[in-house]
Amino acid sequence: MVSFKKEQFKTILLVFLILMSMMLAHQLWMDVPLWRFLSSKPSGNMELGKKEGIVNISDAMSPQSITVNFGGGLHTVLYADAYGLWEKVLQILQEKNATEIDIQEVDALKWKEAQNVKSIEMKFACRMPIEILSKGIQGAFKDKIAFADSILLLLIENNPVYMADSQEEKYYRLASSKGIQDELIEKVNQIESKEYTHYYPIEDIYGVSNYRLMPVEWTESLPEIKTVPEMDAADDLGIKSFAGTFFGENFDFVRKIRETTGSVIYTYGYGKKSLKINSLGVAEYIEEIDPQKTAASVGVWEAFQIAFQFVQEHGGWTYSDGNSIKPFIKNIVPVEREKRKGYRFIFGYRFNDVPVYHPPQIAGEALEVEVIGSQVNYYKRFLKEKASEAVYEYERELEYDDGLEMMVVTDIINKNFDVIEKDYLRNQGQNIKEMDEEKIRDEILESMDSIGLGYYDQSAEKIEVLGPVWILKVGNITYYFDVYDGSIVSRFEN
Amino acid sequence: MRKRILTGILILAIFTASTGLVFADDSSSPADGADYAINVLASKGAIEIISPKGNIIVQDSVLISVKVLNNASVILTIYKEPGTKPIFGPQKIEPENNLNFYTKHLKGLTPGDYKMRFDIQNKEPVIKRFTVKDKEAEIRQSLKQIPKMNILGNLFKQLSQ
Repeated sequence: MVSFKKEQFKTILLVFLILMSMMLAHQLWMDVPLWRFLSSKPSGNMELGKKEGIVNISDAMSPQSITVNFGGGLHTVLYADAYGLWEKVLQILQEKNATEIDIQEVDALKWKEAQNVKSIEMKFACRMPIEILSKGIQGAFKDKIAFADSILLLLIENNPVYMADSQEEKYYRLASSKGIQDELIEKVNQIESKEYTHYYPIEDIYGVSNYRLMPVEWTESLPEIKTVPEMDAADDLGIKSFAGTFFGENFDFVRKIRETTGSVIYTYGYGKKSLKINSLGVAEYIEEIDPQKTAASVGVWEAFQIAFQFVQEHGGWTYSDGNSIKPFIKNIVPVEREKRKGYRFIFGYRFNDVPVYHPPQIAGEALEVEVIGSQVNYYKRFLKEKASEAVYEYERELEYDDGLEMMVVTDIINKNFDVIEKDYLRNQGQNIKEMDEEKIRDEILESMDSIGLGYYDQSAEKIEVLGPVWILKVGNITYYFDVYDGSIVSRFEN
Repeated sequence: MRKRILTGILILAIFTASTGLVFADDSSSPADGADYAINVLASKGAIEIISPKGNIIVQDSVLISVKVLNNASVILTIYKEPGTKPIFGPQKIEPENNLNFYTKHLKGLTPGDYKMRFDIQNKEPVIKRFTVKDKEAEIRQSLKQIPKMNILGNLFKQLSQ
């Protein structure tokens, strides 16, 4: 009898431990615990800010685009993850723990061959540190792979994973004995069964050595969006609520200055902490480096968590209507301030499921968070929101019979190739000018990076309008083309 | 003891039995040295067909990409054979600027034989043929061609030898 009760107790204890493990694992990965980030924890009676929407930390590190390779030379590109593919890929990466992975460095040809198999490719806007991509990475894995800007998951037996660090031209194959994710295959089949935009390698379009993808059609339309800045320096109540999240119970001791330009500045403790919101709606928060908080450096993953939580508590990851801004990480830059090391995280956001770009002369990046040690010493926020009136259709007269139709990308490149060629020749110098004209054209086509879709902030030309653009990088110049008439909206030399 | 021997033989037979291998059929890319179904009738220097590369298409769409050379005047017409009524064109190919490429993505193709005809001013026309095959049917056909495993048959054969 005694031994039966003992066994019963052991069973109950075991079940309890399993449930606790599941809860804690969920808490750690899918939801960042608030108590960990005391330095940025809001205190007192201040509100958290006008938005409290929930965006998971895994969303903030999502890829900028997802390429779905159906096999047999068929591809499409998604600019937002409407099918939850990123979450599934993360789960697979989590399951492949370091002890079971066989890592091999492979050449670019193997990477290219893998892209022709049924697979999903996650493309990031920057080189992602491996610690952020998979929290379970330890030891040997981390020693072999430091950064990745693409993850390719093959939908075949054992789901081999390929990672690429394009900047260093390094490619890796990770194989383990874990099984296939049926749900992932089902999602890809679902995408394939619907009408999707066909992308082809540039080599199949122009006959040059360039395997990057380009759409040969476009089946949807993107309207221009009338917007307002999220922050309005003239809205005293709104900006006071936002400012309150930074100064907490010390708000009574905060000094407010309104400049003649329309900017508003809040300062505390002779510049120890300051928040400025300018007339365009760009908010910048600067905090003096605290020796105690920055004494110990933290790893990139811990710094990322701090940055994520900081944004969560100061403005949030949603628009005022509660919808997610659909963030993605644009860049991670190691920094050093007063001999203390840290990271600057730059995030992008999306509108109608495509990335938004702000011109550098207006505001540049949308969200920037600098973390030194465990302290956030710099935070920049500049988002656009949809204006209250309904989205209006673009009414320009076009030469196309059907009216509002997005131009095919190849037609846009044809239309602007003279400008692209002139820019390329100017940057390449005298040597290339002596080359055969056809070889010059081939070289330009070979240097084209994948074309992407986005919204461009046209506030400099039109008041508060986001216009849909195709973005193409050729050499060190990035072009933004109007999707409807193919004109160059902007171009920047990197 | 006998059971162990039989089990061991069975395992050995499984490893040594003939197996079938399946390769994905990427018919949109030609194999090395494949013959293109291009009927070039003395029209060199006018066009260069970039896509389709091969002559078998295992999908319901095809990318047509053509480079026009020497400012040639070209008209493209596509037929589904044996018909004489065009399913596309005649379309005059007029590339802008000096990039000289023409691109067209044809969708909704049904299985069968197709003919692309490029009529070139003052030159012989260029003909390229390709065949569209049903993807699912091709996969089923490939699977049928895999030799079936006959483990027991092979085992008895080996035991009797």
